[in-house]
Amino acid sequence: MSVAIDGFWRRARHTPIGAALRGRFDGQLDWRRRLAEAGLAEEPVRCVEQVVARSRLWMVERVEVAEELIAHFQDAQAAGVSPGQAVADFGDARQAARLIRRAKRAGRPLVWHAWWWATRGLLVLGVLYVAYAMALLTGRPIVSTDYVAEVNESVNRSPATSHAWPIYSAALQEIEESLGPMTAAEKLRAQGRYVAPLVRLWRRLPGNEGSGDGFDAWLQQNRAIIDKLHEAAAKPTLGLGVGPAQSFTPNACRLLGLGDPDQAVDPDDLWNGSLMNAMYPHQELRTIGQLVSLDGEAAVDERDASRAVASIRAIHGIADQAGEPPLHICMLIGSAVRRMADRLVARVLQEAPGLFDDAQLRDLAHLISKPTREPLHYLEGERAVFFDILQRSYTESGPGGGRLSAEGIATFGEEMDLDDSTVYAIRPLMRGGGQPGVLSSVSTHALAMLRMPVAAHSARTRHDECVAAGQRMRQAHDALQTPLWRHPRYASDERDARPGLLQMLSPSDRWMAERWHREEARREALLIAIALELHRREHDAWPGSLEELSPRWLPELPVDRINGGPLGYRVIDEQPVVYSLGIDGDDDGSRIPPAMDEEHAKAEGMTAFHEYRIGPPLTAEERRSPRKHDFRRDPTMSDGDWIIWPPDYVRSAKD
Amino acid sequence: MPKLDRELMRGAGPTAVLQLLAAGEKYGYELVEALTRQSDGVLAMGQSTLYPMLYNLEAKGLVKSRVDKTGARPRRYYRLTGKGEKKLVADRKQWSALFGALQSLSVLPDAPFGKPAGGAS
Repeated sequence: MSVAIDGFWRRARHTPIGAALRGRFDGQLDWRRRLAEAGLAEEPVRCVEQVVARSRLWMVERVEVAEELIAHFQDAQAAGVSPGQAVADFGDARQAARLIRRAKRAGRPLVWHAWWWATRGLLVLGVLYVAYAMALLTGRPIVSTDYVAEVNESVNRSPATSHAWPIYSAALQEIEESLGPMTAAEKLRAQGRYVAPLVRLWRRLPGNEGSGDGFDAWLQQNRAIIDKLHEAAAKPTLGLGVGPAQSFTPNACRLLGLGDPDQAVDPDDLWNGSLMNAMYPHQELRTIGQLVSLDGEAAVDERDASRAVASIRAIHGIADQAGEPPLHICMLIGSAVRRMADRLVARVLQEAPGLFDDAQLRDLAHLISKPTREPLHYLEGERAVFFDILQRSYTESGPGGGRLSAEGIATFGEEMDLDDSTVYAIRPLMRGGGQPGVLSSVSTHALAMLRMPVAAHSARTRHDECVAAGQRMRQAHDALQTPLWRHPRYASDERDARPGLLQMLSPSDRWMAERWHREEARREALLIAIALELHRREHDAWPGSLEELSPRWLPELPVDRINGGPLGYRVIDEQPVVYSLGIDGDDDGSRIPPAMDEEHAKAEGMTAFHEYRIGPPLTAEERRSPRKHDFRRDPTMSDGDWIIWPPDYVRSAKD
Repeated sequence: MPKLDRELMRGAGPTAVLQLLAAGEKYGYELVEALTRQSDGVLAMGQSTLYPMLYNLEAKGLVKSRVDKTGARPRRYYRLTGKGEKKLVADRKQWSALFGALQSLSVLPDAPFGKPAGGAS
């Protein structure tokens, strides 16, 4: 029975499909059976077996070869050649198998040849692809330039005697001592964590989280601290760089609330060395500026002119120090602090115009007219931030070449519109967590990893990024130096089809430029306001036009920053109003756009915007085609003037 | 007689097989015997080379095979195709030119090949 089954299955295995379908299991392709039944001696049988088995041909081909060789040895046997001699005459069986395999395959159909080459080609491509994926996965960026050192260069060069930080540091220490142990409310809010003294004080300041109760008393009791802050603000440089080298000293950490003061601070735990992730203790200068500003406000309340002037001067010093590092964030902090001083000056001019004497006003005018750092200073810093990220996200393959690394894909892949599943698969591998735990997850990750080269190729190359960065920086440089009335061409308005690092990371040059013009306009407005006050004191009346102020009180009369022409000027309710004609270029008699008017906006069911949206003058095309909710084309947003003095001035169509 | 160098055999072998098949179809062992006998053993090739050569000639379309099962044992017969005949004619000319040239250079003694047209006097 067993033999019968073996025989059947053996025949079944060696039956062509066509015969099997017809139910005829004849075992036609069983060349071994034929060989066994051929009546050959052992040596030729072994030889044939070796040749046919080693040829690794299709079964049909093996049968053909076996039959021919069987016939060959049978002929030799019939010719009286001994089996040993016949095998010797035949030659090397291995070589025969190899040559037969080659020759038989050469005779196969064209379709088979096409398939064979296609599969081999695909295999080679697959191997190359996997090798490339591995190279990308293992390729690590090379950090060759210390951009943090570049940014901190001016701080490191300045003499220690010019540094304000040691004095601020001592003042912060005293603030901590003055605050005493945490109150119950502070403890609850801190939730067991250490809270830096400046944060605790900030929360007590009026207008912040606290009601301001007790702050006046604190101010009275701690005049020495405020004097110390004034002393620090008078120093030409802060003397504190970004990054851990200087900021992460244990004392600085404790005072600024960086890390846990109960544990030794390891900079590597907190910072990967990149400029983008560096800590900027300069942010804390905003709170210090607020402290000094509140003291200045108190001085105005008490009509203490010299203390108020000293406060304004100190705030300017703090603003300059905050804006020292050429980084966009520092520009914003510097601007925010400077606005505190401007508010104080404006308050005095509006509420207590007689508080400052002429000399003090002139002194303040000189202080305010002192040029501040231009946006180009910060553009340079942003260039450093960009190239620092580039060297940390891209592999380096020679001069300027390289691909987005696995780390780069994991960090910026989403923003760069790369394949999400690839980004998510790479992320855990790069950050040491979330390893796939189950087989399905492993296969998903493996597939996603295989797509990595595609993702890396769809991202811009390092060279592309460098070229784009150079172009954008030049464009931004030009835009920041072009007056608004010449319609700057903003690089940030141009969108690339393939988002790159640059587009993602660099600040908008339009935003930078327009913010810069707003800041400058505010500064110029203050200078005009001081000149107007000095004119009023001398003539007991406001001037008939702004031209009367120059050159007696203003060496040069500022122009309309949007249109390049003269600024608008009116005296309304016995108060001077100075304004730009706005982007529509029409003199609306100091009327603000309707959308800036709370009442009008409410009646129209829209949200009022409180800041005039500055920009280049409207083009002829923009005037021709108004469009709702477009701040340039919607007349409710653009039909009006930009009031630069007094601040917070509102004059609507009703007035 | 000395056996031919492998490279020479590689060039001469297929022509010899085509020439033998020009006389009529033959099976493998018959070809082996004919090669040995008619070339006085010079073109006797290992049979491990002959069969792959036949498969190669078949793959190139120079010979065609058929299985004859009428005899005592099934045999695969090879015969020349039209393409094979043309190849043989071309090979003959080439070999003739080669031998003529070798004679002209006195590498070979005068033999029934004659001198190549335009060859050295």
